[in-house]
Amino acid sequence: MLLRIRNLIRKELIQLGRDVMLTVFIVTLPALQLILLARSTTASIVGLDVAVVDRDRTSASRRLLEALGNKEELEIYGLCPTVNEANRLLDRGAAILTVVIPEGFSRAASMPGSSRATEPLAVQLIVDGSNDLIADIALGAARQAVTDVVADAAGGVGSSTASLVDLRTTVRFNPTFDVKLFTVPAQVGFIVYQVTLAVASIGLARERELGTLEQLMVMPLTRLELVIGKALPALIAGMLNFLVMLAVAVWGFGVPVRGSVWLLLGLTLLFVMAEIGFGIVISGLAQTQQQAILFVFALAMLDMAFSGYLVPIKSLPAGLALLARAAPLNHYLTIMRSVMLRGAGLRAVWPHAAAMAVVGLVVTALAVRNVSRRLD
Amino acid sequence: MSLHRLLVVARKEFRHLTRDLRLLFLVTVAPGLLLITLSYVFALDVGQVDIAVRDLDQTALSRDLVSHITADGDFTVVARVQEEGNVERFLINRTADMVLVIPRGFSARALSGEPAQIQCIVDGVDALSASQSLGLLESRVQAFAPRMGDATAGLSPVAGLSIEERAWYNEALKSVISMVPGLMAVVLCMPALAFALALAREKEMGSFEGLIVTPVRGVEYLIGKLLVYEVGGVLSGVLALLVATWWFEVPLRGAFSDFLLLTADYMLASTGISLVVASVVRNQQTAMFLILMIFFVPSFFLAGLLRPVAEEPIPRALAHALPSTHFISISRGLFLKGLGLSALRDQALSLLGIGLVCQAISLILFEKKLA
Repeated sequence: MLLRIRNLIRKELIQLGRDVMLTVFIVTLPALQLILLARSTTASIVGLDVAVVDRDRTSASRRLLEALGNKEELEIYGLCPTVNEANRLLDRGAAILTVVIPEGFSRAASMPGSSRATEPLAVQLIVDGSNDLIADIALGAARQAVTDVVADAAGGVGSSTASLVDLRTTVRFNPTFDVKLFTVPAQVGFIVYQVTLAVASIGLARERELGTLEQLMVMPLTRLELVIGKALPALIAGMLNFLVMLAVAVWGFGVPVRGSVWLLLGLTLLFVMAEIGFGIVISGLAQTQQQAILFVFALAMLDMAFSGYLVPIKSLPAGLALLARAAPLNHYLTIMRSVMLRGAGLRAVWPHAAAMAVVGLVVTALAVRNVSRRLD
Repeated sequence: MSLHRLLVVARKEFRHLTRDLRLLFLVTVAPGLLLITLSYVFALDVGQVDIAVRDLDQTALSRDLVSHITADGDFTVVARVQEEGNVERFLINRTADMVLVIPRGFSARALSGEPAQIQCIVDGVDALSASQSLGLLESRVQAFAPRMGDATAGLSPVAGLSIEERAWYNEALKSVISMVPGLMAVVLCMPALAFALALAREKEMGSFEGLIVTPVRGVEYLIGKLLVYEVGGVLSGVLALLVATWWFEVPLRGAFSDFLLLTADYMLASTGISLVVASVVRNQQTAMFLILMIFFVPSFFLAGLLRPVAEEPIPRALAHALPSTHFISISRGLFLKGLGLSALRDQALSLLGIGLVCQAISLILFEKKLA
């Protein structure tokens, strides 16, 4: 049996090696993607454009303008004479936020409570809500700027209450709030995922489409041997990529590995095997490569969504929560972060490891069964 | 160029597509279904923070503080720590995002007017959410402070002035409203991808050579195929639109005809990119890998779906080369801002530019092979 598997693996490796273009891509593209995406996603959100309509034109309103510009999230796009003009900037997407400073702002700001009897003045913040995440950030920063300027003008009344409760914070694992430490391990996980799935999902579908599956069928191979033979190239590609990406993350981006490297390696192996299972199931289900590839992309969309990286997935509705728990990528990213940054051991991450193992076993069983049914 | 031969190719491709039911499903219905699932995941209004509480004070005031913090559901108490020991394990096991420790004597100090201390240990791994939750916690705690003792201290320094906030296009700032139009760009990648694969497939299977000996010319072959996937793509766009407006109740404030036109424009650009990929590579697997790595996954990160398009030159240039970047702003502009063609001209022309340049490149590569 070993000999047969060895021969099949040799055939697969020769085939992969002969496809020079694919091999070159598998070696070079992941590093490229890691560097590009890690660099562009680690920058925090800064410089959202703000249009200001200043109806006050006093030193106080200028101070507010300055305070808005000093917020690193915001950048003054320009002063507009009318609200309509500012709103056109919002339509065009040239500005995210319009701040309207009312006439009498400096008077109202410097005398807290004085104008309570008269009509209350309002600083208007009009935000482009078409991306709610960015809208929240812009609003928060602008709100803070207004409050600061007003508190300042009123003589620091606000600061006396602050001392009543003293909130002492300790930030663990990432004390400087370095975004890179969060995104780079996740990107590494994504890349291992893409490479593994891309190599594993094609094998059988291609043999079927090109008609060579029939030749494999007449050979004295059991279905398990066939699956193992198809799995190995993907395993090698996935694990090699992991090692290279880990090196880039640690030496290139300075991400620490606080837990055990061997644990990380072992659990990566588990993850890669689970994903190979998915790949072979797809490959067995699809009649053509075209179908297989489109299935892979649909699966990748779901996996990226459920990974918990792009958006937190804490309070999903029940059905989706179940799907999210079945996605190995979700568990794997948690493991990566916990082992690398929190220094977690197997005791802390075993539920995720177990979930990956169960999902992996189920899909692999499905893969083997599927191959058999097709071969009969 | 002969219209007749073009239509013959289109008919052949149409047959191929309709005979392969799974493929037809993946090209037309799947984007709509994916949109439903993705929207639910992406549209969660963020901000729920799990906290573990270690209350050593055990007084009415300390319990009051906790219930004040958790009052509106942004913070949820997932564990109450009774025993002594390392509280950090809650962070390591991912049970909680932060641990709040209220020391003994908290209430006594606070009531006597001395500053009372509470401690918070936060998991900083997800830096952005962590700093956001800390800010939120800080403001909750400060809002609670005046209620504790000296209620006469000046509460609001902004008494004479209020801040009036308004969100346009998405008045309630609901995530689902802004995510659904954005995600449409992602799910509508599928038809373009199928198109590229259809081309790579003919090369791989050798049926391409059969086509060479027919009188069909390169342009006719490409346009004929393009036509079918373009129609399939717009069809799936309409389906996605129905999902957006009926299922998620996202308003379509722009014109439906503009939506059709610009979706076709998007299809042209994204099929263009796939086409260039397909004419460079030799088989479908390589085409898939290339598109996955340079086109599909970056779309999630670079195209402005969640965060704005990056400012740094290289990611920015790449973002502008991705059709999805332009379609995300088109889609949000059409659905939410109610913009017309003239306001979306830049994005529409960018898509058209990407599309035409790519189609031209692939045609040149193609004619060379035919010759």
